[in-house]
Amino acid sequence: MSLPKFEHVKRNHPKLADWLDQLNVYICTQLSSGAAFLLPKLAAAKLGLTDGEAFILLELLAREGILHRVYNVRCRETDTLLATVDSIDALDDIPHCDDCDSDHPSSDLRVEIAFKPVGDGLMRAA
Amino acid sequence: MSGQDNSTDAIRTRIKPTLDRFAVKALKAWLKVILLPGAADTRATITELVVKHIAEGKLAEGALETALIGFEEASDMRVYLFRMVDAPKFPPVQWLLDRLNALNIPLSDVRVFAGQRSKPMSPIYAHLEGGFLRVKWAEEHRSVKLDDATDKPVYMSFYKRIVLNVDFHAQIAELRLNPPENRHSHYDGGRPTADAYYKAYLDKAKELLNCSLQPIELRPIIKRLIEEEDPRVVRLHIENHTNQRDLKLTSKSSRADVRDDPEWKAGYQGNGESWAWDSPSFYWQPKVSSGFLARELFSRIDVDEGFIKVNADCSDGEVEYVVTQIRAREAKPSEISGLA
Repeated sequence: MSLPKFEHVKRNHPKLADWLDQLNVYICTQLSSGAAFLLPKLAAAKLGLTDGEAFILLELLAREGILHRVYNVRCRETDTLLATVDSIDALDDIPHCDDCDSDHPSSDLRVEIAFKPVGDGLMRAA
Repeated sequence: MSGQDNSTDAIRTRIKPTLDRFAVKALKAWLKVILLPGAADTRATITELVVKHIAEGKLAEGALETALIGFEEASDMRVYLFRMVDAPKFPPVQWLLDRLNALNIPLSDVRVFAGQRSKPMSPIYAHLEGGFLRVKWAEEHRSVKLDDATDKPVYMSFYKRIVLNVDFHAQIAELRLNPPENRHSHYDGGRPTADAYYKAYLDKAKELLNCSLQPIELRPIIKRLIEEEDPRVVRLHIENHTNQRDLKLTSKSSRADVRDDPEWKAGYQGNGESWAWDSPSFYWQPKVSSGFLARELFSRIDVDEGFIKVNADCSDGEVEYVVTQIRAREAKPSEISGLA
């Protein structure tokens, strides 16, 4: 991927350019292998960063409109992915958990931050 | 103590009610660490062993009490580790005394047992020594279960302890909490929740310390522990990770180390570099603990919830060892973190 927006992020954060390039390769690999979204913890593991550091890099791309922050809602008991929602407001409408056969209250859910590509520019670049 | 009856019968009468609250294995391990080992595997024999050590002058009753208070403050805890951000530098004495006073937390020269406190967030004591602060709270929770025979609810009381440890020199803090029962006073969305309970004490700690508390990153610590081979600080009991396909995999080993399994080893050598570790269980190894542990000590690191869970019966020294080992493997903040 060498989108103008991506180059813009690198110019704005020259000290992070190497990390952003590594993240770029990672994102392209993940998308081309069919990943629906990017998880900070997996990016962190691949790049040898902490979760917080990987989140910051992904968030920089989100601020530039390359990625979009979403929320994966998981059952706390089974860790099953129940829904991926765009905003915190949508957390009120989470589907039935088939594994537990239950409509979980919010305290039984775990929310995980993830990132999705905006549009198909990244997919084409990948 | 002068004027005190130091016959074995009198000592037994004094210490037995408190001693009975703690597990035999944990007491035995503690005695071994303080170089007073003995053959004792039952409640009766461990009591007699402790009585004997006190009667012979090898163990002071005050030291026993301090150790048992430590058991109360370390057993069955979820331990959350933080870095203090924008915290006042040491010495914080007058400022801190004012905060403790404002929060009705009594400053004490000695640590004390919590007793049975029913009110939520009952302050027990604050103990300040050098740049180290320890604060203890307690509260009552109730567990309600349906009796299968009568179909009626059965309520049981449990007394929870919450301990905050602060090192002002190193600017680090540690919050230990007993897991909650299903009835308590911390509500979220109209019902008591575990998150509301933990958050109430985290907020209280921030209020007391007047700073932000940044949780430490646990995943890189797990990675380091798993990679350490010579010597192995831990035996990897349960390993679970998420791989780059967002697939969660778990491996369990009852007595051995998961890392010795050929299939696990093959997977790890092929892809382990990119696994995101989730909530493994470890047994910390006494052989490489420089005498801090006298038994294999269980702990589970839950990355998603951000805590370390320790056994139902642990000494303060055992939990301090685990925390020290984890802190020693913390990742250093990088230039990326500066952007947060």
